[in-house]
Amino acid sequence: MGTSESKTRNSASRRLHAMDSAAEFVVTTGGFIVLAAVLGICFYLVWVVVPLFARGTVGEEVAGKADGVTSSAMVMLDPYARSATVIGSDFNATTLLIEGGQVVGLGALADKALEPTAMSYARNGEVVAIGYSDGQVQLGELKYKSKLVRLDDLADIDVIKAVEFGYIESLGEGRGRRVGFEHSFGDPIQLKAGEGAVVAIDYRKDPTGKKILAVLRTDGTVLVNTIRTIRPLGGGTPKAKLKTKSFQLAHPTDQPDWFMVTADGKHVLCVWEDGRCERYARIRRGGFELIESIQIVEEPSTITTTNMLLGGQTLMIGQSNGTVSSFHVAKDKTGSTKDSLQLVRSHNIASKHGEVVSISASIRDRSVAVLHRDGVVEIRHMTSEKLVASIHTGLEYPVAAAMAPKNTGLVVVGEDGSYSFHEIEPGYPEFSVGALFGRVHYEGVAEPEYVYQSSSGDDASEIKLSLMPLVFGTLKATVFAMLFAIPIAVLAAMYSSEFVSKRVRKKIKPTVELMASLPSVVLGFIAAMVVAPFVAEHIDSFVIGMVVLPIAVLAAAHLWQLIPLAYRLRTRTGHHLMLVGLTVFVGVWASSLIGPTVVRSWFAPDAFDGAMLAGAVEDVPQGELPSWSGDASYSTKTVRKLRAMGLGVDSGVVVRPIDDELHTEGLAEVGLVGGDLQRWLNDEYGRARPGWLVVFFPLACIGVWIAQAVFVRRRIDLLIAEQGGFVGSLVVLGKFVVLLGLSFVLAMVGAVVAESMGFDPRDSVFGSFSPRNTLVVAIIMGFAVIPIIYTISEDALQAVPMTLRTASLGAGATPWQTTVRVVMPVAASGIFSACMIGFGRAVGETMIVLMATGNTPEMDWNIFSGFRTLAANIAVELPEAPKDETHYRVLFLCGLVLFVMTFVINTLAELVRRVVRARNAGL
Amino acid sequence: MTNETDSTNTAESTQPVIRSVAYTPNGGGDQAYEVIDAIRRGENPTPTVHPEVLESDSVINVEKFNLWYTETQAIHDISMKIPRGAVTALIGPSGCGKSTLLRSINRMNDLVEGVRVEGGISLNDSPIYAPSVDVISLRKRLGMVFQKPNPFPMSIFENVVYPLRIDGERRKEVLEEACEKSLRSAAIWDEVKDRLKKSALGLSGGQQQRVCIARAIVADPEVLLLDEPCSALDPVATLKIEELISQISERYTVLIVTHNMQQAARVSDFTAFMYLGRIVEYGPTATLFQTPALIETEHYVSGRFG
Repeated sequence: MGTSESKTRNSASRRLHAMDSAAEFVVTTGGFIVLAAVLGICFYLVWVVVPLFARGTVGEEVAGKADGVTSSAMVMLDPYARSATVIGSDFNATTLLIEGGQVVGLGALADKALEPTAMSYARNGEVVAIGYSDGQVQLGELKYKSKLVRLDDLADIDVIKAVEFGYIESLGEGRGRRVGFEHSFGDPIQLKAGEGAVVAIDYRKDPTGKKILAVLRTDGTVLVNTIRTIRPLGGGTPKAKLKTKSFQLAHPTDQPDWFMVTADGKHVLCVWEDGRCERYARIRRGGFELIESIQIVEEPSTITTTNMLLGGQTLMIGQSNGTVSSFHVAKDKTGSTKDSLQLVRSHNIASKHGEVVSISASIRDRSVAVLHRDGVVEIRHMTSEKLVASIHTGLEYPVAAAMAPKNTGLVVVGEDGSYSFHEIEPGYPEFSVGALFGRVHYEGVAEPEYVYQSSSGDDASEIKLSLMPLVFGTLKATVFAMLFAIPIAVLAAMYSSEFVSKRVRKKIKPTVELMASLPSVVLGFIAAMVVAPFVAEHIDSFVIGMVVLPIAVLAAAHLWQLIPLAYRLRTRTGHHLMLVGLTVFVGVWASSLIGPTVVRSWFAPDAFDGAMLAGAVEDVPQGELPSWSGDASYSTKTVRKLRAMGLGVDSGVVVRPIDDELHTEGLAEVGLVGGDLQRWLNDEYGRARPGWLVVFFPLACIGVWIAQAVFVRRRIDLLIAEQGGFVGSLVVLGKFVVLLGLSFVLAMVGAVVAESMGFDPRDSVFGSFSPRNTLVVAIIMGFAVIPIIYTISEDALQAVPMTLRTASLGAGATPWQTTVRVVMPVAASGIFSACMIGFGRAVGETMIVLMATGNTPEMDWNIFSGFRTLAANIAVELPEAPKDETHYRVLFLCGLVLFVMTFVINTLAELVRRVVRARNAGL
Repeated sequence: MTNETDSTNTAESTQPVIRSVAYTPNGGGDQAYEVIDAIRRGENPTPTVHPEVLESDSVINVEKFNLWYTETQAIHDISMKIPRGAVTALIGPSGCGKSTLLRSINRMNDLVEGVRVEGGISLNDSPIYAPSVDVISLRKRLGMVFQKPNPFPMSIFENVVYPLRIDGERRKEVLEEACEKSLRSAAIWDEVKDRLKKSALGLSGGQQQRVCIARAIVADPEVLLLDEPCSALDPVATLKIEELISQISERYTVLIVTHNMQQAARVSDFTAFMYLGRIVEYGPTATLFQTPALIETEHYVSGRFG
């Protein structure tokens, strides 16, 4: 008996041991898998993202010398980077094979009999123009033609075989590719204006295919020609037709060293070696005029070379100190030029490699190869300013560099025809840390800014990869959603934990938790299809309701005080709930009733708007103008300051209404009788005051409430204690009404002051209305995160020891005092965690923001505009991002940033939680 | 018979004073407990109330008070007067309803779900259970100390002045004065005067309980209710609290629930012995412990049953 029992016990113990170790093993494995998965995701994101930060790679140098070349001026590479064509200053083109340097073709580009004097070369030879001494021009094209050939009869070739003007490359399996240099020029065209030889010529093609030819002649005449190519119906050579605008340089004898036209044909730029630059532009429909004459290089540096960037809108200059700068025409901030435009410097990149010899633009992206006197070529991306590669060539007198059409190779030629070739792999030139998180000066805009625009219509446009608008959008969505969700969720948790019976709580909690199971796509769908149109339609009531509803609830609470205590004590929780429900209902009903009326009377156009819209205005005499109004033609702030004075601005001129009449007919014409909040938001009319009132009123309420708590509450409390009962409640009600009135007055004063200073809420918290806006997202995303915040907060409140509640209640505290003074401080860490978990959920939330906003990557705090979050960006753009390209990796970077954001938030939450927990350690 | 036993503290068992008095030879364990047996049968025997209780001026008057926790009746038709300016102890085995009775006085039982009462209690002649009574202001008139020390996770100072704070008192000098006064009354001023701003959670259990007593008396309550204030404390701390109770009884009416007969004998002027929700015997402590009217009381206080 004894032995069998011990046997059973032994086997039982062995079994237990086995189970124990098995369980430990399984649990440990599970833990490791989870940890590994999280780390794995993080590492994978980093792994995809890291190449973005790397520079390009450069292959081995292939050097050589082309025989017979004495005066190189330009060079071009074929698409496969096997051969190069050197164009000399004698207008001869020499084609050579890079491997070995064998010259395979030599030809004259220009008609030597006509004495060529100038040449323009752009877009890798796609648009080439040659000017002659007699004022004729010839337009044409230099290109490499490639075609596939059968190699049966040429079976003996190994890899590359030289042929005339090119080579045949074996592709294996009996197929080969023949690549050959070709040039084709049209007939010389006689220019219609000016006299003398062609001094300088610039021929450009813009992304739409429009070709512009600008020519400078000896007498200082500039001809800007729009080229139309006419292809005869029956075949034959296409003919170029010129539409010419001509003008004289301001100083015809002082001819510029470089002469350029922007690809849109709107600006002619003349640049002198000493750094002067003149910009000529068309004023409206008229002719060209000198708009500005500026110094674009600081002493003692001089300009050594110029070029236009891909797209033909940005001027690049190379300087004697090695710096490369880029300039473009942008909107003028000071309004001092005739066409309200201005040449601004967008990038300025210094280099230690001495004088810049040439700048050549890639035709694939906005990269340039900057060739320095010491033979070093730096390949840079002009938007991101990233140094893609720095290549040392041994050339003694380098004169020109060229990148292969697909940026796969770089060739540099020296004066004497010696050359150096490198294969390159540019990597991710558009990407740099600065371009991601800093302001970038993009082409065509006046100032550096944060923009996210990952795709565009053509190669010439810049890819704008600033993540800031996305991070901002993410935070904006989250902040507004949390503003909506936290008060509701935490108050709800307080209510169900502290104020209702266990029986009711048991029903409320699962119900709220059920809300969490609503798929976010459903919520997003509802947001976009139901809430957004509803908000758009009832925007008046919404705006007014934000003020009316809290007032209604507070007023109800004060009125409740008027009921004798004996009756109040007899009501039960159910009755309370009904009363609160009734109050909210009345508040909503009142908002919907008075909202439209109030909005229409406040946000209505006044006599001034009527006069402005009807055009019943007169110019204000100079003498009566305020001294600060000089910049009224372009500064919104000045216009708004004038507006506060009853003055308006009409096409740059300060005007005032002729009379005080309300021009109802004018308003009726634009459908503005009675006003319209959406159009007010869109800044179509109206003054800033009502908007400020709405913004300031809640703030004033809070301020006034704090002030009374500090200064007068004690006295009022004493008074109430003396009077007691009904009179006391009346005093409280009176105080409430007075404070409300005071807040309103304060808000009004604030609104008038802010308006007179030229501030307008439509620049910050309000702004143009889009139907899918932040408000909608705040409501729906708030709705999505309420359950999680509620549940965790409720648990935190429930975890507060009951003894603390009984202690507080036993001391005579009300349930509310107990909750606020005792329970909340103890549960604070848990509630904070709940909010942070909600925050984390909102940050990563995708479907709701995707569906309920316009996904426009804007950066403003306007609650009526859309935005784009990191998560939504990934969802929107992943399908159109080719694998492993910049865009693809940038989307992974978005994911990594999101990961880091949630990681930081959670860590912060955990740290705060620990601090609070340590404080409550003795409980 | 239920086998509930009071865990008599070993510290007290070394004190022979009371034990030697209560024994009556003709009683004995085999004698029938008339009153208690009647109670067990569900009858309602008249409690034995000594005339001294009725003669004194009462501050709390319990009249035909019944209390149910949902279906279970916890207090059966209790009527008793709590004398003013004295310490009254409620003793009895676990579950006899003494804590429930105490908590009924400041209506803390309202917090328990399913509680129903009949009859009335009045505090200084104002009824406690009338529908028009504001529970909050009622509780402000009573101070309560609980079984387990329950200081708030705040500083000692804030703990003590909490009842004043919730009444809206914000003048610093008033608060400081009240704090010192009640900490002195609670005999802990010298121990904590240099660490008033430190968390009360850092104090020992006995100190915490005295801070809780200071908190209970800071607003000058009409009656101080102590619900087994020493049951979670060690003997030394218990002794201190007992001394404290004796001291403050000079100024306050104290109603104390205790499991510990010796404690009741040491600190109280009057004692009520309760059993299964009824008063068995109620009278001056000395009488009850030395010459009780009922054999049940005698046996209970001498530890022979219960």
